[in-house]
Amino acid sequence: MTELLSVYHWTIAAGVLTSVALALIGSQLASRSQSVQALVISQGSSLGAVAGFGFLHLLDSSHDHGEFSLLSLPLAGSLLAGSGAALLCEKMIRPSLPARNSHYIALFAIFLSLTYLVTALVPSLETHMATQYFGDLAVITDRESQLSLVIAFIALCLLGHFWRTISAASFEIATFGRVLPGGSKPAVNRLFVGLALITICVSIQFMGLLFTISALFLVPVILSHKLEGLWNYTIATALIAAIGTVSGFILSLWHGSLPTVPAITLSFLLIGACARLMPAVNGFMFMNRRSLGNTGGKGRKTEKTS
Amino acid sequence: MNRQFVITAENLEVWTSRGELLVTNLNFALRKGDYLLLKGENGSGKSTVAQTLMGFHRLYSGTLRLNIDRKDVGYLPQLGNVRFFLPLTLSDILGLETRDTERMERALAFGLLEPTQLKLSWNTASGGERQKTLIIRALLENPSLLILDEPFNHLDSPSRTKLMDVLNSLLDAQKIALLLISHDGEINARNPSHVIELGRSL
Repeated sequence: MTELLSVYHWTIAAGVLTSVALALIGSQLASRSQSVQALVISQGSSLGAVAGFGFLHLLDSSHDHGEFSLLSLPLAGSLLAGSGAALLCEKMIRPSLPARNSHYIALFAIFLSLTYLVTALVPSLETHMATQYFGDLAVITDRESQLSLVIAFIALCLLGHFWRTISAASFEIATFGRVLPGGSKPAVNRLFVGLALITICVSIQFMGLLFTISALFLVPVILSHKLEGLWNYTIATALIAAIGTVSGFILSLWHGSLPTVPAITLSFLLIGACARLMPAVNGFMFMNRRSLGNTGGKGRKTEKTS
Repeated sequence: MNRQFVITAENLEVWTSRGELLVTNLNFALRKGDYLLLKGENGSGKSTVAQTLMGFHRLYSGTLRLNIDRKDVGYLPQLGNVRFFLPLTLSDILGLETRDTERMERALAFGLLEPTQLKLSWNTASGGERQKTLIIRALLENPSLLILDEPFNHLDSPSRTKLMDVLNSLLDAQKIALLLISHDGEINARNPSHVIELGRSL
C-alpha cells in the first residue's frame, strides 16, 4: 500500500486540491442558484475535450502524438467549449426567464447529443468518452496531475484571499439579482467567474465529469443548513472534500476492483454523513475561531435568551 | 450650477420589457440634504424607476444624469423572503470583522441592531432584522445618494421611528440625498423636499 501511495503521490495531491477548490466553488455557485449552469458548462467542456481528442485522431491516426499534443489539444477544446457554453448560458437565457432551469437542461441535452455524435463519428474515441465521463484518478499521468495541482493551488489561493468578497457578491446575486456597484466586488466577482470556469474545465479534462460534479455539488450540500458561520462551513466543506478524496482513493487501491471516482464519491457521502450525525464533530465545527460569524453552536432561541 | 445636483431626471419615460410605457414625464433634481418621496399604487412603476436610476433597467428615454460615481449610490431593493445557501450571519453580511472595530462601531451607532443580533444567521433572522441589516449595509458605504425601496416593510413602529431618525440626521448634515419609495402615505418623517406620485407631480 505504501509503495502504491508513493506511486500516486502527485495524483493524490492533485485530487485533494482540486476537490477542495471545486467544493468551495460549488458552494458559491449553489448560493447563486447557478448549479444547473455549471452542469451545462461541464457538459460543454466534456464535448470540447472529446472533440479535441477527435481532432487529434483525424489529423493523423497513424502518427504517434507527443504528450504535449495529447495534453494541450483536448484541454484547449475543453476550455473553449466550456467558455462557449458559459457564454450561451449568459447571453441566451435571461435570469428573469420563467423556468430557466428547463432552458439550461435543454442546452445540456444538446451538448450531450453532440458529444455522443462526435464519439460515433470517431469510433476510437469511445474509451476517451468513458474516461471523460466517469474518470479514473489512477490512470492520470504525473504531468496531468502536476498541471491540475498548479491550477487548483492558484484557485485555492485566490479563493482564500477573496473568500469574504466572493461570498458578499454571491449574497447580492441571490438577494438583489446582481452584484451591486461599489468596492472591489464587481472585479472580484469577474475573477471568480473566470477561476470557476478554468478550474471546472481542467478538472473535466483530467479528472472526468463524475468527479467534477461530485466535488462541485455533493460536498457543498452535505453540510448545508447544518453549520452556523461562513468560516465554519468553509473549513468543514474543505475537510470533507480533502478527506473524502484521500480515503476514497485509498479504498479503491485497497479493493482492487473498486473504481476510484465512485469510491471517492461514496467517501464524500459517508464522511459528510458522519460529520452530520456525530455530536462531537458538530460541536467542534460549531466552535468559532475566525470571526463573529457564529452563534457558538446555539440555536437562535438560545441566543436571544442568553 | 448643475454640478450641485447629485442626480437629475428630465422628461424621464420608463418602458417595460414588453414595450409598454410605465412611467411618463418624470422630472426631479436632488442635492445633498434633499428628500424625494416617490409614491404610487402597486404596479405603478416605483421599483422600476429605482432600478432605472441604479442602471439596472435600461429601457428609458429622456435625460438621466448622475453627477456622482455609481459606487456612491446606496440602494435597498424590496426584500423578498430570500434564504441563502451559505450560512452567513448578519455580521458576515455587513462585512464586519473582529479586527475592524471601527466599522463595527459605525454599524452599531445607527442603533438599528443590537450587538447580539449581529450573530444571528441570515436564514433564521426575522424579516425586520434582515431589512435593518441591508439598510445598515447601504449606510456603511457612506453613500451620497440613498435609494430606499419600501424600507419600512417588515419594520415595527419603534424601528420605523429609529430609521427615520437616522435618515433625518444624515439629511440635516447634508451627507445624503434621499429618494424614498413607499406606497405608505403615513410615514412618520420630516416633510419631503419633493413628492412625486407616479402619474402626477405634486
